[in-house]
Amino acid sequence: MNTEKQYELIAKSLSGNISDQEKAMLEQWLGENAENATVYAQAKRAWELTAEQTVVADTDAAWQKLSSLIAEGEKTEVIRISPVGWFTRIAAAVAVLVGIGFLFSTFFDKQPQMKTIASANEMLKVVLPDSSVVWLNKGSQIAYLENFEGDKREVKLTGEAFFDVVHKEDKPFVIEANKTTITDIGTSFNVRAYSNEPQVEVSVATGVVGFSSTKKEQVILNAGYHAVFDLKSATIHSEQNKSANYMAWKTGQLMFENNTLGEVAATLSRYYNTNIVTDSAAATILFTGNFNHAGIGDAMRILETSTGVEVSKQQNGYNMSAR
Amino acid sequence: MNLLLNDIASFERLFRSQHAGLVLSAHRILNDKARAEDVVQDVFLNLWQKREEVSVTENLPAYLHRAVTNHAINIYKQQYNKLVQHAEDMPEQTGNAAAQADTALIAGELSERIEKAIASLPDSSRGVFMLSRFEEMSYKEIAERLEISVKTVEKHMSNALRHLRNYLPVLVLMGLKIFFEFAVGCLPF
Repeated sequence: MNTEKQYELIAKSLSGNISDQEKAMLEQWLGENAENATVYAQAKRAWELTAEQTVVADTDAAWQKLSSLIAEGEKTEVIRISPVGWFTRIAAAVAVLVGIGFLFSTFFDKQPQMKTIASANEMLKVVLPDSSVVWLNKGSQIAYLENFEGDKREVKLTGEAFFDVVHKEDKPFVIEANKTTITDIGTSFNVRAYSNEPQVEVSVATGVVGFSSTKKEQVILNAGYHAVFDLKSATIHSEQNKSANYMAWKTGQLMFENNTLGEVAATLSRYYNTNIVTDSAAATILFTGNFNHAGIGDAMRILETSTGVEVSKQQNGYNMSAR
Repeated sequence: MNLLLNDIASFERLFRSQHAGLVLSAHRILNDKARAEDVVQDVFLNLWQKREEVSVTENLPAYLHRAVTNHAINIYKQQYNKLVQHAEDMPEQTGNAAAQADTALIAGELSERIEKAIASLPDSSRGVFMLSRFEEMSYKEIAERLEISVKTVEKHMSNALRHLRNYLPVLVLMGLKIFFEFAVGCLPF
């Protein structure tokens, strides 16, 4: 068998494209001498090693580029479908000439505008028209009517945010987040409602908060309490906060006191937006310690040295196993 | 409309979680990082623009992977046709790459050596090899997709595998990774 034929059969075998007849030919050739077996083993190893190929992608830069392309696309769309018709078109033409098109069209539009603020890869502090303050976690978005027109201050939230609300008796502050409603009764609290997570969570730092789903009755949450609305079962479950780690995305502080590594892994996975898993033996090991603005590498090292587990880097996170 | 795509924030999360993996998939086929990134960008842009009309019933990562692969294969096919226009047959198997492998032996990381070995594959064979290896397409599927014969696919596969085996240092191929790195560490330079 010539060299080309040899490699042809080996490639077919490795890629699962080999027929029974060819398989017999390959086996016969392999049995001829030890050298042939070595060629096969080395070709197989080369085949496997190609999986080690990597490419360093700059996701941040790519997102910047894509989001500006999206923004561009949507600007033109608004002009095209605008109900104001010829007027906006003139405004747009003016915009091309003198660059004030945006001011012009909003000036003539008497409808209250929905204002949307989205954080990309950074935390964002937003002061609302009523002086209430919102800290938006990464990948989150709030929307509200400009100047809070109407008898309520309504805010739509996707993602996670901490609210410090200026209480107004006559104009309640209401947050809508993924089929739930959170009503402030004078207070500061955290809401987590990412649209790819199966629940909405509310944790109260000070004051009192009302939390309700669209159908069920309202749960009143006092400071130090935490409630989870499960979207699937449509039930709300509340309990006392065990720690202030729900605020870690804002404070950079993570505190553990006799927590199992299973709990620690869940908290860290969420904080670092990665996937940290433990094997069953490591999951029950207790850990006490604080992280202050720690990078994930440092945090994993601290866990490794203080609990004696073995930490290994995985493609999409970390793995902790008992030694 | 897909729940995952109802706002830009969740779209961004999807993008960030899938971007690197998709770029790698496209890069394997195209061997060109800038092109691979463009392919991924186009697919995401298209998905965002059509999010209201397209109903994605399967899971989004799988959908994205297929869209990126299809897009990359289309580009590869154009390149492939250009490549073979100039040559009567496929490029000849490069000669014994052992000399190159010897230099590669002391040139650093294992992964770097693998990158080099893959980069040194003849362009027309590389794409075919990658489609078989990583997209798990059968020879028949590859042949149909690129409009070439199954025989040509076989030839490319044979070529690529032979090239990789010749190019990679024997120590690496023996699976003695640890010993190998230790040995390199002991070299006097």
